[in-house]
Amino acid sequence: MKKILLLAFLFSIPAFAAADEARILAVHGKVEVKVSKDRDWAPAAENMEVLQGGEVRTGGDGRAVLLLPNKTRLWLKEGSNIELEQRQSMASRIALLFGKLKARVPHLRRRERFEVRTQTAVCAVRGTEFVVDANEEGAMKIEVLYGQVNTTFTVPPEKGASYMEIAQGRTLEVKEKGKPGTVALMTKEQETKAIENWNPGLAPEQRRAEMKAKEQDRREIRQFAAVTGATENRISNMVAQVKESDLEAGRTLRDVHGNLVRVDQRMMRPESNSMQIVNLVKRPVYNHVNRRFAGSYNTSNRLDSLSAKITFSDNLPQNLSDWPGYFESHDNLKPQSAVIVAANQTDSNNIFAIASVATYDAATDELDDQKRIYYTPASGYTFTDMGNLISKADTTGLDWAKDYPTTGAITDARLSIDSGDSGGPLYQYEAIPFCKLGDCTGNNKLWFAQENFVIDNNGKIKNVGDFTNTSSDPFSILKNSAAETIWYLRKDSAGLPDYSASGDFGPNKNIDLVIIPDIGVAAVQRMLPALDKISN
Amino acid sequence: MKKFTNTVMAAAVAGLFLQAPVCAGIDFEGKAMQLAGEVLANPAAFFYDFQQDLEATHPLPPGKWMGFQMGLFPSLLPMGYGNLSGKVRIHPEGRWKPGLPQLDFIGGYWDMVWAKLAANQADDVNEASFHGYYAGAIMSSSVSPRARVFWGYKHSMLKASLNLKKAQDILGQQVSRFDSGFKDDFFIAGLEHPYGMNKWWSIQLNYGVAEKIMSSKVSWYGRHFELGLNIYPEGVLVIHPVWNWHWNF
Repeated sequence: MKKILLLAFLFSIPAFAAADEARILAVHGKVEVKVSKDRDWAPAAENMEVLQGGEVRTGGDGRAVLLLPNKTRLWLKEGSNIELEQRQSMASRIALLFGKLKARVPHLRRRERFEVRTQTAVCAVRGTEFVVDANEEGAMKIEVLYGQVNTTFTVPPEKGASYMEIAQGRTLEVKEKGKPGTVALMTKEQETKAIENWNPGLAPEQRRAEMKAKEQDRREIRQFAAVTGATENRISNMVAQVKESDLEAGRTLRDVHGNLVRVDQRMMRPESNSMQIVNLVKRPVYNHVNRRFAGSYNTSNRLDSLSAKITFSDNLPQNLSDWPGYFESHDNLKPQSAVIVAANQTDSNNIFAIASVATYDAATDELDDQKRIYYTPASGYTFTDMGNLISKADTTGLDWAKDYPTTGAITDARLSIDSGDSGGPLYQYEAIPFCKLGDCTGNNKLWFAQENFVIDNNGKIKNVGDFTNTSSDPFSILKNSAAETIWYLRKDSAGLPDYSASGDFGPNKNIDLVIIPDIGVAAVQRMLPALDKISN
Repeated sequence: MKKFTNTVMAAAVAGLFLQAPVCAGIDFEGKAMQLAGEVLANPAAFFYDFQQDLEATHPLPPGKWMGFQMGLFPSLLPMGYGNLSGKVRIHPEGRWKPGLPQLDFIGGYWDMVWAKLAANQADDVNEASFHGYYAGAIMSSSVSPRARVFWGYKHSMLKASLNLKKAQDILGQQVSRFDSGFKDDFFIAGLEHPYGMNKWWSIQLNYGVAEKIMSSKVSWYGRHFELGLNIYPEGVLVIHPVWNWHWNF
């Protein structure tokens, strides 16, 4: 018998030896402790041990933190009283006599148990963080932050389950001992109060310092995202504004002679009160098909351009879509000048250009070009000179001619539109007489001749029927249409333009422009909402 | 001279005439033909979208250790996918070690009822087999007592084969047999938040590694039913409303 008792004692030593005591980690305010069942109450101090059967109670301003042997932390709020009912290596139980405690139970060993008992129920937990609030009458509230709490009612309620599993994020409330418990979702306020720092000695605003720091981090992240988003929007708007005032369009097609052509268009805002449209026509090889105005113009790496710049009396809005409304509401906005230059720039040191320069005439309230055209001399007109012409309306180095004061314009096969049937080809030959330097006497006449075509992307001349008898939508039609206009300056030959090449102003002296509607369509599309608003 | 200027400007803006754009009504027949074409181009992907509707990639709610799920719409009806999925919790959050996430194993199988009926009863069908399965793991971790994030992996497979006795003309093609399949590994990421007792709102993204396809799910997950919107940007029917039944315990 003695051997058995001895063996039993020896086997129990490890259990007793492994069960360290519970320890008070921190106290604040009035906190008292009964170290064991048979001891008296004494003021609690840090690192004080509490044995099985011992109690800890906090006064009206007291808070305490305990560390149990199984590494469970217990936070006690003001006006709380707990008893360490059981403290063994594989089983621990805390009795919450009254008050509020928060327990963070770490990982327990496989058969290890940890329970919190109140007047009403026993809560068994594993790897859990939860808050229990109980009073002496048996009312109880459990808030499970993480993990799960298994609750067994000591006094089974008349109705409802006597055993409940409370998952995290939920609360169990028992209003009265013997009454059934109600499980509900934890509210944000409950969650905040449960998560805040329960350590003793902290002022109320310090308890949520960590949470506030996290909130602040989240706010900063949101602000950063908002600022980044706003910056991106500003950049996009800037780019959009730049693009709106710098529209681009381009197309590759064939001209009426069959040459491959690349047309690039830009709409630009050189100054805030001006607008410029540039139409560049590039051909790797230019073979001219003689029609009405014959000549020898074949060349390679041909470059023709049309530039139109108009300057206003006041600054224009940045956004293209604002222009219609702006023009409508600003009656005193007047065009100050307009410069239109068509040029053959194949040789940048000997450019052939024909230009019109108009300035505002207050008397007539319109642009007046004085019925003049300007044209380049035989040679020596450079790219720089042309730049000055476009940007400053500087006609230095140009010759000029004035509109011939008769009605002697010669037209040939003028705009052959057959309105009745499927329509004829859309082309026009025209020549307009001018007087050099305004002197219409003697041999001073020259002819400004044009050949105008409406072509498709293959260079084929279009018919009227292509526009009127079609099921395609207008934008598709426009995408497959272009205008080609070929300009010449011809000498006079017995009162008519000299149709032969010898009557020309020199070799390569023509300007062959292909103009696409793309940029115009893009601009109108941008302005359409405003135009629509105005018309309404 | 004005004529000169006018000619230039007219030439410059020759195309600036406006006409009202032609308004077209919705062409349902055309759209249906287009969808049929997309299905024929990749039938497996089309059927797989419906398999994703029944896949239970949502983690088990806290406190539950096992669950079953059945896809009702559009899986069971009208597609006829007889299906059952299961989930089992291997590790509850924080049980083995504080901070270790919850780990659930998921898996399911489906077989098309209509295919079996067609094979048994239709005269012109020799053999029809449409079935698939998926298996994977989902881990979930609490970011607050109520909100969780989850992530995981699943492997999905689908096999579709149809053998007709006589070739049928489908969109100009003579079709007597097709064998198709789909197989991919997916990474999943999502978050859930409760909006009531036993009710969660969740959103998740799936990314198929081999096929490089993305899909997303938004769902309202209740005690027994789940209502969702699945979005397959590269699918034939981009948005699938979904209704599933589940039982967790």
